Amino acid sequence: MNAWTGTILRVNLTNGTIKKEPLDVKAARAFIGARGLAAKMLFDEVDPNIDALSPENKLFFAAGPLTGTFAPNVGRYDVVCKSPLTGAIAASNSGGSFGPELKYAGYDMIIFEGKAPAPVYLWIHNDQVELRDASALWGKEVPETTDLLRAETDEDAKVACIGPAGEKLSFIASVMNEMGRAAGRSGVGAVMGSKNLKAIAVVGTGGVSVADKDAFAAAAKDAAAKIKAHPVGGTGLKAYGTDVLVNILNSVGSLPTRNFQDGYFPTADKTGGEALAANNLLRPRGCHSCIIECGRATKVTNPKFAGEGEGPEYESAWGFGADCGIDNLDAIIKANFLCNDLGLDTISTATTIACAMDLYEAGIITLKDTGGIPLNFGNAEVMVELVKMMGNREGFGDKMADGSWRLADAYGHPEYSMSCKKQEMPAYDPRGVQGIGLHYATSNRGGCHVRGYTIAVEVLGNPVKMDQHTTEGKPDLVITFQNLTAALDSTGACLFATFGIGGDELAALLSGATGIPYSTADFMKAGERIWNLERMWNLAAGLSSNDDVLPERLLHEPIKTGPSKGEVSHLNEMLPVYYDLRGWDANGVPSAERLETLGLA
Amino acid sequence: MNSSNPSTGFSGRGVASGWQLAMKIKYFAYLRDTTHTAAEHYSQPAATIGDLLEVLCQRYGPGFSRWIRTPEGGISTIAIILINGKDIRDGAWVDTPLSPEDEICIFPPVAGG
Repeated sequence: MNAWTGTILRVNLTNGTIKKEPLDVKAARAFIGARGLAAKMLFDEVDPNIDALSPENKLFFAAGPLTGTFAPNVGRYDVVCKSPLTGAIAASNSGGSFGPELKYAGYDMIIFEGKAPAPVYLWIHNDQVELRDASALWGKEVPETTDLLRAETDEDAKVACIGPAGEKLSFIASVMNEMGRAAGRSGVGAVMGSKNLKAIAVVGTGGVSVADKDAFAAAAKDAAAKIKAHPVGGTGLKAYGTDVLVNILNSVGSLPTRNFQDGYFPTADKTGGEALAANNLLRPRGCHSCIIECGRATKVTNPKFAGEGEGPEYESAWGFGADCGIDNLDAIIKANFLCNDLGLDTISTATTIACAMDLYEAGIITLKDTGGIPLNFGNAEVMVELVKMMGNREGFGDKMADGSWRLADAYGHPEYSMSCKKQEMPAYDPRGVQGIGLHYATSNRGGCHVRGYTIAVEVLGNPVKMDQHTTEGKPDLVITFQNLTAALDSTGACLFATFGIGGDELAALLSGATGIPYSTADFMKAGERIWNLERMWNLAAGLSSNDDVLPERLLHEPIKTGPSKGEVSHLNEMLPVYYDLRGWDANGVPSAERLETLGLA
Repeated sequence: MNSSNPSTGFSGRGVASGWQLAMKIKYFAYLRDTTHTAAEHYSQPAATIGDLLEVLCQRYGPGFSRWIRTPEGGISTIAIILINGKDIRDGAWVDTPLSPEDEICIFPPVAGG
């Protein structure tokens, strides 16, 4: 085959069997790969009503057809399963080189089933695939696990693993690959931990063939030229990383502050990409085939928070920063390093800490609950300590380790959780940016920005500008971004490639690689198909339009200060229009006609 | 007293310029490499944001203007220019009028996610 390797590994952890299966070519054509194809297989194979942490859940590690090719920015893979955090479908996407290495070993996807009787890891060296004892690795953090596995297998092995958080079944645990890259969201690390699967180590020495070398090379060259020529993809992200957004969002009054009590943080500049570049950046870092290099290799010398590692991204800097009322960048970076080491999602970890601080300042939780730890907003030392406690489920950290909704609900106040479908929202206030709120509410994996990044248009003006405060045109914008991203994720491409290229270029790359003529319309339709399939699975899992909501705070409590003062989210004006444009009924259920059109009937 | 330079109208390093009303201009990302300050005040008349940007491009030269202008000499549509937090692309663009008490934020084309 071309682009796809044509082989899937199916690993039954209960009985230790490993099978190689042929890829379903028809399904691959319709759902592309990675997120889309794994969602299709989850849909076909997993009962939506199972317990996410039971052996009946399945865990997919899936690369896309472009993953591992020499096209620019196509080094990604997805981890797909039922989420313990949301109860919805989880698909967490990560970069680095793990996905390409899996393709070079000869596999499009690994499916883990059942539960190992004792801790194991999977070692893949091309055709040789075996489960090995991981008892000695259990309990170890991500860097040590990675180093030990490289020593035990191959110094060039690409390692994806969980840390203590995943082992302890934290609902906000991530899967980490190559130490600093995260499939972070929706608790996929807990599902891995529930299966007693500590890690995957892979070495591949093959390649990825393409169907039409000339057409693919031309499409790759065109895409690379457009990304490099774009001011954002070509230079901006490399110089400042994604954290440059701190000052932009703050300047438009939409930087959520102190658990979304406000949308403006007066000292945000101390935590932005400019400060990071000036004080902590060692060098930019890119993933496989990346020509953007938004990753940050960073160092903190302040003895209180000393360390060296990767990050923070914008979301992490915001979460541990403004959302916790903290402007100490050293502490923020340290918290990010700890999340990487322990295997925690930075967005959910930070936002859960912000929620705890809010509950504490409201008097809902007290020193008696926290074990004597004062949880005031702005306390950087406590924030860093809480990350450690959450990752290890120690003390009050145990109550926080399943995310903000479970924490707030345990004290009778779930409204303090700034989450959608129980997953914490990221760093854009829906009161100040209307379209992103509609996306948060309708995202198939709950509070999330990367499935429909309307910020590009509503704030950045890229490729066009729409007023962030208006609702007009936003449902259509959200749908376009959701469909495009579903298709893009499924190819193995990075979302940041879209700061330079779009559906036309991605369809050309996919056509050249696979030999299947994808038009731009075919590509976008595949995205819509994937979105609707994920929706149908979620509905079968018991979710409904009642879950397409935002926290009450965002609908009824206006932003207090800054340029967006007085604004609230107008979600309820936009949602019916969104359903209608999607071809869904008033309850958010896709119509039979639309499913027929998408080949999902 | 007025601490601004009377010939240029600029007063630097974020210090307010005495009794005379002055716009606050905030710079971000690459622009700070040229302005060598994150914020300053400007007290000379500038009827529109377009007028002010012209002054700034003249004052700071190519190291500044390359991020704000298009190769054709217009203002870049992907630079982010805010007046009191409102994006000029949502309003009258370079013709947006200025008042002495305005706060202007200028970002080169940058993004994240």
